[in-house]
Amino acid sequence: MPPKLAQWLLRWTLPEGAAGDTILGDLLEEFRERTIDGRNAALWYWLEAVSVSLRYRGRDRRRARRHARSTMRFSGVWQSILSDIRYAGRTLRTSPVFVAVAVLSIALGVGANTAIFTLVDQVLLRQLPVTRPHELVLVTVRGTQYGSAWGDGNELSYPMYEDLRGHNEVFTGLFCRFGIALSLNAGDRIERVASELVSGTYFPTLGVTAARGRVIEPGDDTAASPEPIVVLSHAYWSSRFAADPAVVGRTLLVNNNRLTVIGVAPPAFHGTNLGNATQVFVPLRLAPSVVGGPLTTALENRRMRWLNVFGRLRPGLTPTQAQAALQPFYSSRLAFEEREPAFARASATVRSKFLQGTLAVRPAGEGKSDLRRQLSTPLWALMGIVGMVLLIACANVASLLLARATSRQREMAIRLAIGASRRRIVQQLLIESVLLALIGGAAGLAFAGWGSRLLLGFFVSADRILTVSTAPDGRVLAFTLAVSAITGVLFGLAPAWQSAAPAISPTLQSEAPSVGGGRSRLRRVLVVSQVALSLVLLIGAGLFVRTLHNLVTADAGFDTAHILSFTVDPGENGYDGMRAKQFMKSMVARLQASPGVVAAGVATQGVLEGGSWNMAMTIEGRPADSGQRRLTLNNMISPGYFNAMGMHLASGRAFDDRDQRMTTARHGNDAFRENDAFRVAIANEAFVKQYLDGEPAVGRRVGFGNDPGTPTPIEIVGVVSDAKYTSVREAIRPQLFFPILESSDARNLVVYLRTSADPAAMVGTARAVIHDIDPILPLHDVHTLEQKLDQSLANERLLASLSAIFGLLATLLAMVGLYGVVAYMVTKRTREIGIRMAIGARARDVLWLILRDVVWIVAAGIALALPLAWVSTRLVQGQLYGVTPIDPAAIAAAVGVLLIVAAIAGLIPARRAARMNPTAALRHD
Amino acid sequence: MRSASLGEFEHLLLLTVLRLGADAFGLEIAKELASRAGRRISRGALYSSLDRLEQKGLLRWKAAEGTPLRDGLPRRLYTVTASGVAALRESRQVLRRMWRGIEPLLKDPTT
Repeated sequence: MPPKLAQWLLRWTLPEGAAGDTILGDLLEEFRERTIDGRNAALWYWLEAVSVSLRYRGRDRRRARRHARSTMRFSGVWQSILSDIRYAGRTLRTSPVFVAVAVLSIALGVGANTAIFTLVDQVLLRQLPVTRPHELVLVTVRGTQYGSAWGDGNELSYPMYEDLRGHNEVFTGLFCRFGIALSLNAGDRIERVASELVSGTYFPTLGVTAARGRVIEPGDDTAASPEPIVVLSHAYWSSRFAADPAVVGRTLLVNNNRLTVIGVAPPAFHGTNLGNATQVFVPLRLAPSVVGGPLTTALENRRMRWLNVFGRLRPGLTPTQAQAALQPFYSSRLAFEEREPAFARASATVRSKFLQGTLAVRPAGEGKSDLRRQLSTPLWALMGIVGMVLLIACANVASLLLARATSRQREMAIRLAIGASRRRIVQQLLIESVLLALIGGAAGLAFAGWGSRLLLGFFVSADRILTVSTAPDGRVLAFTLAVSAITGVLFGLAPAWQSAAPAISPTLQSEAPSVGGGRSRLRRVLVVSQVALSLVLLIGAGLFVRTLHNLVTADAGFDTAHILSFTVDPGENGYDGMRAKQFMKSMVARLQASPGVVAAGVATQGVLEGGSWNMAMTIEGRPADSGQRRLTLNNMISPGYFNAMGMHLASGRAFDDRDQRMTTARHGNDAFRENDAFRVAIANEAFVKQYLDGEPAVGRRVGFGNDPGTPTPIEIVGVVSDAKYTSVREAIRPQLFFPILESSDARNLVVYLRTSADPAAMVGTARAVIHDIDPILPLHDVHTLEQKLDQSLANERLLASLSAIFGLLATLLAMVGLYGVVAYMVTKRTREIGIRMAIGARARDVLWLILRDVVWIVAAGIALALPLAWVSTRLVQGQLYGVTPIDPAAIAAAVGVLLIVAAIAGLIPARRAARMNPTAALRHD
Repeated sequence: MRSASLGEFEHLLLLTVLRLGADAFGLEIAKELASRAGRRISRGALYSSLDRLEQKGLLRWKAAEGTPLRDGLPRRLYTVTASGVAALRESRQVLRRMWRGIEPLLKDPTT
């Protein structure tokens, strides 16, 4: 759709009826044509809307009459305000330097706030573009799980979803979804697309209808054999198929399954996961054939939890009520599951814990968003930081206004003397400051547009499709307007109040210097709080910078500088079982033989990508205490993996040609089948330390699962050095590695190449090798490990750099304030200084006289800041790594920076005072 | 009745409307102007010129039903009135008269 604000502008200026509607229609039609052509339609629409509005403004006589009436009703107040605005404009024009400094201060403050708010709004506050999003809830489960899971652990099994849907008194609709990347082949090339597997109730419950063709419907769930169909998102249809209407009805190869396109979703709808826009929607019933692997039996398997379940609440019900109403039924289903054969070997503790599982229902109008969860604290922290920057900027402008008020005392006194009311003068001064703030706000908006694009650069990675845009919309404009207006009142109120009360007669008799006392006290209070706030920001910045430094220099356990990684999935071109393993073997062999490659290895789970494969294990001779589990992070790897990663063996041996089973035995994601598949494993040092108390590991046996009597057929043949797994942040946990070539299949192969030179230069070689084996198989996620590391630290880098930038900005603003106050003080005490020098004070004494004040202001600021910092840094404790919230180094550095800057700000006017010529000073009035 | 004199752009607009016939809708007019006359103009200028010609009685429009691409909003179907045609003819006559005998003078404008 065209920009809302521009449409609103048009509606407001165009005549009513067909004359206006035809123009709106023309612009809309052309906007859509341009969108489809991929031209910048929003900017075009804005320009044309403005050009049309300018021509039509004021043409509608009826509107003009209405306007005239309303002006007349409020004419008294309006007249005075209008004339005040005009007067304010004239006065401001006479002091351009003051206006420039004030506007720049406000622009920086408001701009920073608007930029961060744009992201806060889009990432944290925006609701899904569906019917009544506030009624949507996410149903999750808590408690011990028995079986396997795919996701963050709060998902439901498909049979449980069906149970809830069948026994439902609280929802008007219930649907489930599963997000996954699928490969799509439209005949010319294979690419990865962000997909959602959805139940037939997905679109109807959300209230989303097709832009073309039809969407997936409830009938697609119940049909005896599910139809092979797919729905495209509007954005994907536009970009990949150039919005070709003939795509509906075409057949695409999705993970090597022939699916027919039945429709296109509406333009604004990008699925239910903000931050990862869905490109294609596939019926959930196709999961066994399209995804396969662990999902082969997932539609019947109660032990496999993988689905996000959303419901639409009946009107009037709260999530808490719904949760209470569903819990008894959920408990009864758990009891039913616990009697099933799958629990035959479960211990009593596990059973009783399992039965205590609960259901949680929480509002989900914003959908499911991993991005939101991940960015929530950093964004709110930044919002707090820029809020403080704005406060400091406000204090600066207030301080400037106070100084200005001194020079305008005569003007105010004259106005009061000739009968202006105090209220009227306050009104006039407030209008002046709000006008100033609005100009600053408008300038800030320009900063913000640039700033939020810059910000987004921190988040966007090449392989993630965002639905976040940085174009300012109505909400952001309203926010900026509100912030600017409040800012204006905030920094204008105190100066206005003070200015309106000069003692008339002494002022007019030109004894002005004696009446600035209250004013300069207020300015000192302002400066003390500026110093305090900026110190808090500097301390926070110090903590974030140290966190980033700790993470960047943390030893991940890999040779990060020389590794290139990419993903290949032979399944995308139909390889399975034996053929996939053959593919992998020849790929590794050829890569290994390529010039420039030191070592090549493959894992099924990429490192530092956030994902993990974890299992509770049984260790021979080391029974776990009751209620405790021997959790390990696992990975399947090829021979050569440790070499490729730069990890070294501590004892035993690495995998080699002995560790393969080139048969086609099937296994799923099921614990007991894995015990049939693997014969050997390699543990890391953390495993030996935590689970074996340092005793020799080689020769010891382990097994998947932790039920009593679990077999332990897998022998540990080696111990390898520790390395991180999900992220650099995590502590090193016990890990086990298994040989890929003993598993049934080789899917989703993450390949690591250690290179002798720059790894980025090896991309071409890698592509050529894969192309040689299979010309249409694509490489995904190609990057160096260093880039991956960088990407995984995007949030930390964002917080560190922005808090440092804003911290320094705040300090500079505070120092401008400090300088202003000291300089003013020097001017005011010129005569006193002259007298002191005349009776023998030396330059050093004068210097100290002025600096003593600076020291007091800074000391008071520091004293105020420390408790403030103590409270506020605790709020971001979760974002820190390797530092405590009261890190002495960070505090010392912040105080150091502040002292240096304060010394500069204080010394400049103090030295001027000390160099004064006493005779000239005495003549100063 | 003395026909109103036509500006160059008005002249182009009237010709465009005649040329498009039953397709003389706002958006089409803009496109035709761009492709045939090489004139890209802002929509504000386009509609105010069309309105001016309407006020002069040279053009008139009636609302036609909208398509789904424009959310069903109506379209303006323009036709040139009899006085519009007359004004065009008049304008062409004037130009012809003025051009008569000019061509030889253009051969060497410096003399």
